[in-house]
Amino acid sequence: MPRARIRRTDVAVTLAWLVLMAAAVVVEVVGRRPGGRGSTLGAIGSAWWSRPAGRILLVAVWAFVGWHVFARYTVPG
Amino acid sequence: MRPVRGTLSRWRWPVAALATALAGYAWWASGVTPFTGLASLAVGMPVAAVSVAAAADLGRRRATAPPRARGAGAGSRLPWIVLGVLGAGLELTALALGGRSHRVPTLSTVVDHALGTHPFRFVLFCGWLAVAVVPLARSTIGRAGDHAPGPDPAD
Repeated sequence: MPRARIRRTDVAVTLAWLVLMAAAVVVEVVGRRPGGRGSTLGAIGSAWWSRPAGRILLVAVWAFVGWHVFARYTVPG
Repeated sequence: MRPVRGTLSRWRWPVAALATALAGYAWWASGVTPFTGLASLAVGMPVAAVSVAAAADLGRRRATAPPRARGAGAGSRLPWIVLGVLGAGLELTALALGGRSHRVPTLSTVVDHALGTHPFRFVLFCGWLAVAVVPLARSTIGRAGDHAPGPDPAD
């Protein structure tokens, strides 16, 4: 595949990730508005946090994210 | 009624000290070379501390807290489910292509672009710590407020 085309696809998928992150922020903000009907990430996290299995899962996911992002990252050259 | 002002006033200095200590730790941890034992240790220490604190907090909560109303504070979760499915689909596609595909980068490949500078790694590390420490600190302060006899006379 030509290099320029690979680059365009790479940028498109990176943009897709950024759009997903922005959408998450929007959903969270809308959920926190007075009278907002959407659930916030905090409310979902709290519901899981109050159960032993949910708490173990949340800590495990948090630990994996930390290990993967901060202990095993590679800066693109 | 909870004496919120008194509780917050009482916890102001411990919280400030904890935040300063965590920021210092985050600066050190985010400067460690990746793929080393020290890097794993830098992440492993907060994980161990949070695991112990979370287990202890769960035990105390079971002993003292009334059961939460089912579904309290929960609205529609559909947007989060949709975002989760889209994210998981993109991540699985990228992983299926080898995890280092130039065409479909994984989320961590996208984040890697931002990890080149120490200050940004430091900010991300602080955010990562906050995700676990803030709920635990709130839970501790909230319980102290529930048991406090009244507002701090110093207020």
